[in-house]
Amino acid sequence: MQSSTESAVLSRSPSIWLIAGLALLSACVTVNVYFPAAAAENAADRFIRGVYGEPAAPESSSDEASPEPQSGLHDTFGQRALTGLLDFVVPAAHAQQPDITISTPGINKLQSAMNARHEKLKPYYESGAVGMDSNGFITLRDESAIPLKDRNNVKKLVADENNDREALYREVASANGHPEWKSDIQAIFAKRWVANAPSGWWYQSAGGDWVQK
Amino acid sequence: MTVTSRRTFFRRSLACLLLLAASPGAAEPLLSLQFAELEHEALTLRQVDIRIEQNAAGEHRFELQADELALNAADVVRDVSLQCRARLTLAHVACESGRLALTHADLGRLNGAVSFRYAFGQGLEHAELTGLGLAAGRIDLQVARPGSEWAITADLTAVDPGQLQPLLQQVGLALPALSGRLDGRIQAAGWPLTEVVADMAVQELNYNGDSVAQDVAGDLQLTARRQNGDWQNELQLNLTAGELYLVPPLPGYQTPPGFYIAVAGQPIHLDAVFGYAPVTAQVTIQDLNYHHPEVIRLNGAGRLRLGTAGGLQALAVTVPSVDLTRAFPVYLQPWLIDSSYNDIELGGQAALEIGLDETGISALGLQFDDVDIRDPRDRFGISDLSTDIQMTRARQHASRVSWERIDVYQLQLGAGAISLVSDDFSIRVTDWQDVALLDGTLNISELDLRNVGTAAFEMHLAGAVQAVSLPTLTAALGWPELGGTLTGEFAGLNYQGGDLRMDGELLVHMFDGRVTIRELAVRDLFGNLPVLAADVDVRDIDLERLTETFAFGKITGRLSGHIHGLRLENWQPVAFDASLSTLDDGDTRHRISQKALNNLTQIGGGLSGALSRGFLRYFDEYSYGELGVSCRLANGFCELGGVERYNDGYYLLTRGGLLPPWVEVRLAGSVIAWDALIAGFQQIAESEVEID
Repeated sequence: MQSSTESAVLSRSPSIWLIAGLALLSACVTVNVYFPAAAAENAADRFIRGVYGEPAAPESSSDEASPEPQSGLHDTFGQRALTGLLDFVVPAAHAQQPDITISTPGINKLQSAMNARHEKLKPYYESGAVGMDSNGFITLRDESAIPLKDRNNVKKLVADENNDREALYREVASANGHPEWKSDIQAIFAKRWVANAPSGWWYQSAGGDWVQK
Repeated sequence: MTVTSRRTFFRRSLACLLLLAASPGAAEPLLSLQFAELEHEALTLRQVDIRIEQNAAGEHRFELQADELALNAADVVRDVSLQCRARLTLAHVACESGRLALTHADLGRLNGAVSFRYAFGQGLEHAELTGLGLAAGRIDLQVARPGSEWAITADLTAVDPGQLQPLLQQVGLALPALSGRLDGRIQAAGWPLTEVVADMAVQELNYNGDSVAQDVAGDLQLTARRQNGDWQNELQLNLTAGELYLVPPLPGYQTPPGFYIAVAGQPIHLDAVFGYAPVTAQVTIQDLNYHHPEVIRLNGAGRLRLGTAGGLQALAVTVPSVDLTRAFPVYLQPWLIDSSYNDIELGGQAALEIGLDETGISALGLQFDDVDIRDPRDRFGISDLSTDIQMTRARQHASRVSWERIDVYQLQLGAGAISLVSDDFSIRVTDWQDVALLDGTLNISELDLRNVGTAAFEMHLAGAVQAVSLPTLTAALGWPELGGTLTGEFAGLNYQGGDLRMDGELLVHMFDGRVTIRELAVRDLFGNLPVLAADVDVRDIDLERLTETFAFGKITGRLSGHIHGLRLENWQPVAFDASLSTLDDGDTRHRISQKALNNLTQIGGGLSGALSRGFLRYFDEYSYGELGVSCRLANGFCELGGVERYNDGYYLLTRGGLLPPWVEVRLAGSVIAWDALIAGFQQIAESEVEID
C-alpha cells in the first residue's frame, strides 16, 4: 500500500489523480494474512520427527515436506550462493502456499535440546507417567509410575521441556514474521506431537480425558 | 417390652437379675430377659437378650446377645455376643473367662477373650479384652477406672494401619493406600479422652498420597494431653529404613516442591513439641528438631492448619551449618524445579535462617562460606562465594557478599565484595569494589539491587569497562583472535525480568579504527533462548590489518559503516542491516592483492573488467576505486548490495587508480542463504585459494 506522503510526491505527474485515487482506494483495503495451517502442520511434523529422532511418517499428515537442499563441503562458494539464491527464489514462486520456517539458530538450539531430553523422557511416555496435554505441553499424569528417587528428575525434565516448547511456539511465530500466530502454531503442534507419537503413549483429549494412543 | 428409663432402671434390672439367679433350685435358665433398649452411661444396647444359666456345679453362666451397641449414640457395632462365667454377689457382678464377638461395619467381625467386674452403684471397675483379631493383627485391651477417669491400654501386635482406615477417616485423617505393620502400646485416659501415650514401632509402612512412603521402618513415641479442649503433644520419631517423598502443603505453590528422603545408615530423627486445637484444626509447633545424619540438621517453630482449606501459616526454620553438596540436592533444589536454574550445583558450607508466612518469605538470614555455584548449562558460575545476609520485613540490616570469581557465559569477572543494607527486603548497596573483567577492569560507579531472592530480582549498574584486550576477549568467546582493546562507559547496565539492557556505549579500538556498540540488550539472559540485540557503528577500520588477521588476502583502505538492528539467537546472527565501505576514507591508498581479489570474486560470483584473468595473474596487486558490501539479513537470507549500482546489480569493487591494470568486481546475485555465505567465508579462511 502506498502512503499518502508518497502520493503527494507524485502530484506533479499528469496521471497523478488516477494514481492517488488508486492509492487511496488501496489504503481502504484490508489485507488479511491467513495462517498457513497445512504448511505449519508440515513444519511441525519435520520438527517433531527431529525431536523424537524417528523418521516415521505421522498419521494423517498433509503433503510430505520437500527434502532439504543438500550442500556438500566440496561445493564452491559460487554453487552455494546459487543454491541459496534458488532456495530463496523457488519458495517465492509458490507464494500461494506459504512455507513455515522452522530453521533458525534459536529454533535449532531448542530442537537439539529437546532431542537430547527426549531420550530421558521416552521411558516415562511409555510407562504413562508423562502424557501429552491438549495445549502442546507435557505433564505428569501418573506420578506413581515413577520411582521415588527419580520423581524430581522427571519433574525437572517436564518443566524444562515445557519451557522449551513455550519458547518454540513463540520463536516459530516470530521467525515467520507473525508473532500473533503463536497460539495457532501451538494448537498445530499440540495435535502433531500426538499424531507423531508411537502407540502406547498417553494424551489428553480436547475434553480433558486421558487416552492411550 | 420397651424400656426407656435411664441408668437407674438398668441397675434395678441387674439387681433383680442377681436375686433371681441366687434363688436356689431355679429351673434352667435361671433368667431370660428381653429388652428393646438398654442404656448405661454412654452405652446403648438395642434388642437385647440376656440369659443366666446355672450348671450342676452351681456355677453361673452369663450370656448377652444384642442387635446393636452404640457408644455415645454414634459409633455402632452390631450382632454383639457376650458369654462368660459369672460371679454374682450383692455388690458386684464379675464376668470371667468370657468371649466377646461383635461386627463393626468397617472392621468386620471381631472377637476376643473378655473379662470384667462391675460394682453396683459404681459402675465398671475393670475390663480386659484380649486376643481381639483386628486389622490383620491382634489387640489386647485393658480398661480400668481406678478413680472417676477411664484408663485404657491397648497393646497392638502386627496391626495393619491400612485396615484401620475407616477409624482414621472418622477423626479426619484420610490416608489412602496405607499399609504396614504396627506394634506397640497405646494408653489412653478419660472419656472423652484427656491423655494419650503411645510407644509404637512400624515396619514396611507404605503410603501413597501427595506424599509417599515406601517400606518405611521406624519408631514413634507420642504423649498427648488435653487441656480446655486443646491437645498438647510431644513427639519423638526415628526412621530407620525406607524412602519418603514428602510434599508439604505450602501456600502459593501450584505444584509444591517434593523432597526425596532415603534412610541410609543412621536413623533420621525428628522430635517436636506441638499443640493441636481440634475445633479450628490448628497445629502450633512450639519446637521442632530434625536431624538427617550427614545431610542436614534443623530446628524450627510454626503454625499450620490441617484440612482442605488449611496450609502453612508461619514457619521459622534455622539450619545451623550444612554441607551444601549433600543438603542442596535433597532440601533446596526441589524449590527450583520449575525454574531454569533447576540443575545448578552447589558446594561449600552454609547456615540458614528463614521465616515464612502465608505471603512468602518474611525473614532471611544466609551465611555462605566459600560456596561454589556451578551451572551444568555453562551460563554462569560463582567461585568462593561468601555471604553474611540478614533481611526481615521489620527492620534494617547490614549484609555483606564477596566472591573470588563470577562467570557469565564466557566472560570472567574477578574477585569482588559488596556491602548491603536491607530494609523490608529492599536492598541498598552501600559499598563495593571494582572488579577485574578478563584482563581489564569493570569500574562500578553505581550499583543497585532490588527484590533479591525473588523472581522479580533487578540489578542496576553504572560504570565503565577499562582496557579489556581483544585477544583475551575473542579467545574467551571462542572467536578468531582479534587485536585491539575494549573500553566503554555505560550509564546503566540493567537486569530486570531476566533481560539485560545497557544504556550507553561500548567502544572497541580495533584495526586502528573504532567500533561503537549501542542499544545492547540481551533478552532472557539465563533462559533457554537468549536473544542479543545491538546497533554497531564502524569507523576507519584499517583494511590491511583486518585482511591480514583473517588471511583473506591483502587489501588497503579504511572501512566505515554500520551493522544496525543486529539480532543474535543462540549467539548467531539472525537479523541485521549492515553496510561497510571505503567511501569515507578520503585519499587513503586503495590496493587489493591477487588473493583478496580472487576471494572477493567468489562472494561476487564473477570478475569482470578491462583485463582478462589470464593477464591479471602477472600482477601481485591492483588499484581499485571503492570497495563496499551491504547485507540485510532476515529469515536466513542475506540481501546483498555493493558500493555502487550498475544496471540491476551492484559493484563490490569499482575500478580506480591512476595506472592500470584496473579491476572491478560485480555482484552476480542479490540474495544468498546466510549459511552458504558463512560456509564460503569459512572455506576462504581455511584454504589457500590459487588464481588460475
